Amino acid sequence: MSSLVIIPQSCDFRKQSASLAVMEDVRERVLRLAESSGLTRRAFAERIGLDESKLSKSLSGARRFSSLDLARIAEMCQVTVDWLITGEEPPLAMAARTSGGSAAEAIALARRLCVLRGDMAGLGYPQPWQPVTGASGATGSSGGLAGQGRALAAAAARRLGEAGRSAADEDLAAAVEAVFGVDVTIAAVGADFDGLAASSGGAKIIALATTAVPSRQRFTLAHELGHLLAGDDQEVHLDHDIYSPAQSRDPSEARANSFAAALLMPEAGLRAAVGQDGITEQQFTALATDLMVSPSALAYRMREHRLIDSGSCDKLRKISAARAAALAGRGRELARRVAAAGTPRPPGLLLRDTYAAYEAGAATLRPYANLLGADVDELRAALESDDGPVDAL
Amino acid sequence: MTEFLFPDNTVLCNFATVGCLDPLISVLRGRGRWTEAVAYEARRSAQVLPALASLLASPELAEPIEISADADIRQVERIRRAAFGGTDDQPLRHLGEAQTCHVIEAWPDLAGSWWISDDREAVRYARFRGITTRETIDLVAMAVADGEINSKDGYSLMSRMASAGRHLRLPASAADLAHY
Repeated sequence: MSSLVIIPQSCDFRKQSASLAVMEDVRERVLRLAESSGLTRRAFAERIGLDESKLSKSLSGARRFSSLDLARIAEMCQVTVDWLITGEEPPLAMAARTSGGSAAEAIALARRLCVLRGDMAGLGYPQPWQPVTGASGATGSSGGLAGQGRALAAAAARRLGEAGRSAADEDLAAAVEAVFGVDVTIAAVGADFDGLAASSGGAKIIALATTAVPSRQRFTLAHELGHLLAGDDQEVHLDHDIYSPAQSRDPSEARANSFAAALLMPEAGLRAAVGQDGITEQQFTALATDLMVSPSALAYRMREHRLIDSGSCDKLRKISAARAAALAGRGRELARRVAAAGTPRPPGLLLRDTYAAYEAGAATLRPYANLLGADVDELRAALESDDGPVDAL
Repeated sequence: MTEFLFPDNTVLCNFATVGCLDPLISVLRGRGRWTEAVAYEARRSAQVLPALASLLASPELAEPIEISADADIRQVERIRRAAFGGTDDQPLRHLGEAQTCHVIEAWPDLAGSWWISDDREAVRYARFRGITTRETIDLVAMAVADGEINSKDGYSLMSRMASAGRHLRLPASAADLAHY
């Protein structure tokens, strides 16, 4: 399955009439939820803790729905309190409801993180998003979509370099967070999903699936960064299969792929590696290991720049990651990277900011503990404990 | 200015767990307040702690405070999520804490009220916000000071709460409680 741009679709009345929902007031939204619940008015009232008379008064405007009423309605009808009040539903929320399987899990995760970032921004901790200067200009670069991707990648590489970082950093997620201000999270969300980029309400999130193929995860990270830096205005961009041939038929996908390839395998570096004498299989596998890309991706990239011929490409692209690491004598590195790619990673900037908010007393420890998946009491106890007696060392 | 007392549900459950609500009721008399979400939590807790039912029926806690202005509801929602770690898909989680913080902070007629909680996270946050906080140990000490219960019984009461698995700060001794 190829990449999918999530466009708000409709399967219940919230989606069938999103614009109408905004125009309605809370009473009308509750009324429509009650009607679509299949319950009698009395049963609906009971489920939300009101008697029928109170519900009627609230629906007629003689009484206002309270905070508790709306929370109970939101819980029962699986909507949000914010939607009940405003009628506005972020596309991420709609996408989560219209997707299934791993995609739904990933979108739900991205949605939670975007909401958290929005709330953190309200506490003075906005997303520190640092778009590449002239990124929008890159979309008009010569060379079509591939040229746009390359121009954007060059600008991104310059930015990384200015910050003392590189696309060849082993922890690329940390580099992306530090340099571009994007939160990167890795989550165990299932096998049929590579990653997504979410841009919502000021939040910029990249979510990647855990995998045993670190080069694929790395390419996905660069690809999603390409979407964000290109300003692909899609709220959420989901990639089930980053290597799908269908990928190239979508303009934004083609550009993001070109960006990822150029960022991870810069042409100048490849030319330097090949030099005047061509490249041996051992040198090729060492280069793939250095760049942390798959042999097949590197082979195609080198053929694209006519650094190797089609015959060599066919031969080199068939080398497995394990074989490449063995030939390069760097099996340990591969083992470490496989372990890292299979390990969930909380979003680093949100972790930093939720803890800062805790330190400042603007929040409890719970948002930080939630990101870690930790029990808040155990975490606080650990934070407040010392490391143990010095004489035990 | 009246200093209202806003006990959270865990505090109410501490007393209900040991079937001894009189010290709590005596302290709350005339100045106990709660929000609708805390009252809702207490009603749910009463299903497993029948002693709570008598408190729910008593006049010592005024009618639950309803929050119904859109701006207030949205601010409560922001506090619930950003400060207390609640999520959109569990809209009742931490609602009582968020409502209580909001009304004490934002409603002038409730300014200066005390929030009574044994949740360390909630207490720490409230203190940073300038909200006066107290814990179950403070309520028992107040009941002791008021002569509603002697310090030995107060200490025993709190020890029973802890033995029943309730999480609260305990006095070192009965004498400690008397001089708290």
